[in-house]
Amino acid sequence: MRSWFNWVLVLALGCSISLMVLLLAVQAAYTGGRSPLRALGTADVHHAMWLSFYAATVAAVLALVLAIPTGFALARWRFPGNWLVEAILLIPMIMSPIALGVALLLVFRTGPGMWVEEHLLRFVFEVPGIILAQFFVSYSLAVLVLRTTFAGIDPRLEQVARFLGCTRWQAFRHVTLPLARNGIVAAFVLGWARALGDFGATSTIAGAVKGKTETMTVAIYLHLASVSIDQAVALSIVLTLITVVGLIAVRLLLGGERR
Amino acid sequence: MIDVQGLVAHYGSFSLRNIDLRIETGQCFVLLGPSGAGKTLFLETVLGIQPPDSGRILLDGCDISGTPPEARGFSYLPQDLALFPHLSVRRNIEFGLRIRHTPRATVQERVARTARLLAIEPLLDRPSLRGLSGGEKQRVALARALIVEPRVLFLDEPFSSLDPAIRRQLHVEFAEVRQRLGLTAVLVTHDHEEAAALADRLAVLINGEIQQSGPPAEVFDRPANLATARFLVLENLFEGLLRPTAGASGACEVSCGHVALAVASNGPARHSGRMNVGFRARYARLHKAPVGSGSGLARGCYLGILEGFSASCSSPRAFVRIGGQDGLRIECGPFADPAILPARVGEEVVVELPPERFLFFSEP
Repeated sequence: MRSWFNWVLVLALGCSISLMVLLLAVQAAYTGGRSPLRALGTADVHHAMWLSFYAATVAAVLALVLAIPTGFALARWRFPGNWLVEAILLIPMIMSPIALGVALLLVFRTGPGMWVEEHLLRFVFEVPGIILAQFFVSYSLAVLVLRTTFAGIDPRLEQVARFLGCTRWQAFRHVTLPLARNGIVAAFVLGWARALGDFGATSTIAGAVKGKTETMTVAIYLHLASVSIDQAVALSIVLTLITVVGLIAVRLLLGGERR
Repeated sequence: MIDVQGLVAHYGSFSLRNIDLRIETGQCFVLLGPSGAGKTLFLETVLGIQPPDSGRILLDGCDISGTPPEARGFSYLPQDLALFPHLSVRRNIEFGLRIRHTPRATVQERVARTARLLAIEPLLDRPSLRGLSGGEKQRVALARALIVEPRVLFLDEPFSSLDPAIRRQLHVEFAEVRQRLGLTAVLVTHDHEEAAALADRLAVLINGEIQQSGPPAEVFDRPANLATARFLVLENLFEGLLRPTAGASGACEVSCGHVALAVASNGPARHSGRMNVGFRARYARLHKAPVGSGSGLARGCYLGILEGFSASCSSPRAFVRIGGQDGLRIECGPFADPAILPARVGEEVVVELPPERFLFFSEP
């Protein structure tokens, strides 16, 4: 006879799956069999999609460039307070996106940030602000994935490479980096999807200016506010599909790494 | 030649203390020790992976203590081989040459030569390492280490994960390759058989300290202290009281319980009192017990009962109890064929323990 504990597990799993399927199903049901793409035909929506893809891609690439050496250092170096550094780097992932946006806003309203804003590059209510906000939300995720990836690569491989004539950089470039390829792609995909879906940090620093700083998530919010439900749902479905495809890709990549 | 002088290093709370070793060019030097003795720390310190706390490492007279690993001219074959899983067999082997931007023709020629030397030519076109046996991986890793023509090859228990038959075969092959290339090798292992098979010179490392070094036959035959004797499995080791033999001028004996063992007087003359004594099983000889046994046995000969044989089929040994039920159990052998022994199990036998073969360990 199956124990009661097995039934609890089955029930929990069933509830979890039902909730997720419900979220997807209600969106599909709302379209009533009509193609959601028809609602995506306006110029505003096109701009929002282009801006979202552009900003998320730039942010995810920048996050990856910084997260690769950071993740490697965290995986290889053991020093007192190691855990604290890791915790600090993960703050943007756990922090409320709006609070993150407020913090960024304050950076550019005080001290050196204000100087940058006035003399170098404008971030507040501008596209660079979107990229910066999305960089922060995707960076922590990328660091987390890459730290785990690099920790899973035997440092002995780098040591052997050095005895075969590699400098530290060459050992990293020719041995560690190729072995971390799947983890790097996974970090990019997850970071990109996270950036694409951000609303709180993005809208706090860059505002919700139609046709200027209107990303997909901001567009969903603005369409809902103006009761353009069809377009809000269509954009939501697009975002959901991107997330699902991204998760499948990550699953395949990381699964392949484990095999 | 590598000259290690007063090397001190630590990893966590464990430390290597005052290591002094000299490794001659062309020699296979084996560092033998139990798990946790500090063998890998020694290797990593000499290789430059771990910084030493103090001491010097000289390579042909030049201090290389501060030289980065890639500039030392060493190759390293770790226990897990560390083959690059993202590269093919050929790419693994030629890795060191490609990093050095060696011309393509030279790379091909040296890969072919090394593959021929290690009999791995059929493996060169394998697209990945998957499907290679343990022995094949071993040869590929060795080829990768040798192709860069290192001044010294360091090996960290590289054969330990292999089946005994393949391990022995690789011992022979490695010794042949090393001699053919005139290669200097430093190998660390916990395996006595491997050490005996490969070493030109042997050092025993226990608890971070070199206990003894010398030719392998000498080290195995005459362990310098009790810890080494125990690690090298000195088969017969007893605690006893050393004293002059009554009525025999200059002769000594060791009393182990009520059994007195005759020992040579020259060695223990410097020490006396309680100590450990031991001797190798191969020096104990068995003879047929004379009729009316018990009297007239020569010095160093003892009457005992043949109790049985060890189960090992490669080196069967006999166990003889001397001095009655609460006497000493002596291990003798190995014997090529137990059938030729002078007695059957349960019968009386004379065991001869040459007094000059006894070793003395005065430490507790």
